[in-house]
Amino acid sequence: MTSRDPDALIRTWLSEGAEDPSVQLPDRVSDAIAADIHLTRRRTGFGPWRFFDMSRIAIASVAAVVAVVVAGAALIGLNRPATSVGATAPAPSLAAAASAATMPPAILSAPGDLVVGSPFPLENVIAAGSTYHSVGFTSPLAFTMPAYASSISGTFDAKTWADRHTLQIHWNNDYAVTINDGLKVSNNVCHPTTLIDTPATPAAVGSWLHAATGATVTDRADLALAGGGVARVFDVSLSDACYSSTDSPPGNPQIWFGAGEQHRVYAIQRGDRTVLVMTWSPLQDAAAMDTATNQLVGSLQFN
Amino acid sequence: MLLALVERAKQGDEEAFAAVVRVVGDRCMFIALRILRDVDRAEDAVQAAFVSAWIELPTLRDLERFEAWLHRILVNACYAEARRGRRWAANVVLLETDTPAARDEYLTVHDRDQLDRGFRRLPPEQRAVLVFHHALGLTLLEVADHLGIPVGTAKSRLFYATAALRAALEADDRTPIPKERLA
Repeated sequence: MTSRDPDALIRTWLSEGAEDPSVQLPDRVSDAIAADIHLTRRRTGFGPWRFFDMSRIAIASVAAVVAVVVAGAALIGLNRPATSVGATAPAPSLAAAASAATMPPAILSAPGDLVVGSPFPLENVIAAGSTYHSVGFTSPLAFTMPAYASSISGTFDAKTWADRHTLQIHWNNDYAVTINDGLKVSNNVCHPTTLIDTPATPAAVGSWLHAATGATVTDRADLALAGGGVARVFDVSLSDACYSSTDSPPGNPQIWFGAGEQHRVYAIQRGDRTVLVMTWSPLQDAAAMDTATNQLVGSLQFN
Repeated sequence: MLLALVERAKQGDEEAFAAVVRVVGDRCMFIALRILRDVDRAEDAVQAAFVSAWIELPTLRDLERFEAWLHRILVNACYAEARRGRRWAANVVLLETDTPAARDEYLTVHDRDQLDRGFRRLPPEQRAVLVFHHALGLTLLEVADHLGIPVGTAKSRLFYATAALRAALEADDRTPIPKERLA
């Protein structure tokens, strides 16, 4: 592992070429743009598209664009996740499939397949409504991806992080549920200063969350798990005064909360320790996602 | 100068629009190339974006926001281009080959290879946030504005994308333990 700051390397790599004079728009592209706009009727500020006096070339161009759009829509339709319970797992996205020439392919997991701990960058594509068993996570379990997920575009994947102490179930680009077993967490979810072990009991998790000034914590009704037992459920809302840096808080925890965010936290007793399930949901319909996440967590069966 | 050109282009002046392309085209090419990592695809995306911008320009009310507006169109063109199946793995042009030597003390060839691999695995939406934030130096608020997404989404995408690139860098010794923010 490199001893250098990975974030600095990433910034350097991404910013390379910003001032490079060799990165130029070629003249032939500029010329093509000029030719295109000369043949292209413009949208007016108030009226509809106007086709009636377009040139034949422009009409052909529009027809080609329409054909591409229709074909694209059909392809997108083909790549939507399956919607029924037990359905075949979805195909990888076009981008994923197309990138297979240079990247290791994602593992396409059929229902019931083992979701193994994925060595980066392998991912396990999973389907809405299907049940999976994980043997890669430190606490082997089974879960069912809620059928509601089929209403969300994109593919879903599961993978392990943090030396397999975290199983991340990724709904699309912006929503994730993480199941965490044996992680260090920040001592204070609003004002983190150091790391502590995950509180050993759900009650202690509640105390840990409630102790954070600046975080509003609401206790929800316990959630029964398919495999027996219950999850204590907390909704955590962070004020704008909470930790807001995009860099890791002290101690580099794998998990932390940020100012203005809202998370649902589930605490599940597993022997002498607690498994924490946490949500990340900046975009989606919160109520619907809470329901769907309750279904996912409620489906948990630990081996 | 740009504002005056945009105003004239809005009124239908094709030469003014061509001048706008000359002024901001290189920047757009850099953004598209950074997101798509492929010269041909980047050129296609930029061309499509400028044609769309020409069509939509009469509807732009605040000319001061032209560049942010154009960037949003450009990024959408990049998304569309990225999802097309053709030429995905071919004609890869790495900006690193033109990198000033001074940078080499920080980034090894292996680093670049790992980062490039990690970057190519990212969805285009996450790539765009990385490029606008790190390569263009925009704040997350500005990134959200340029991409037309909520700030929380920009932040989320930045977290996931950065974590994936960290993991890519750290994959060289087969210890895939990313320092990721997971929730």
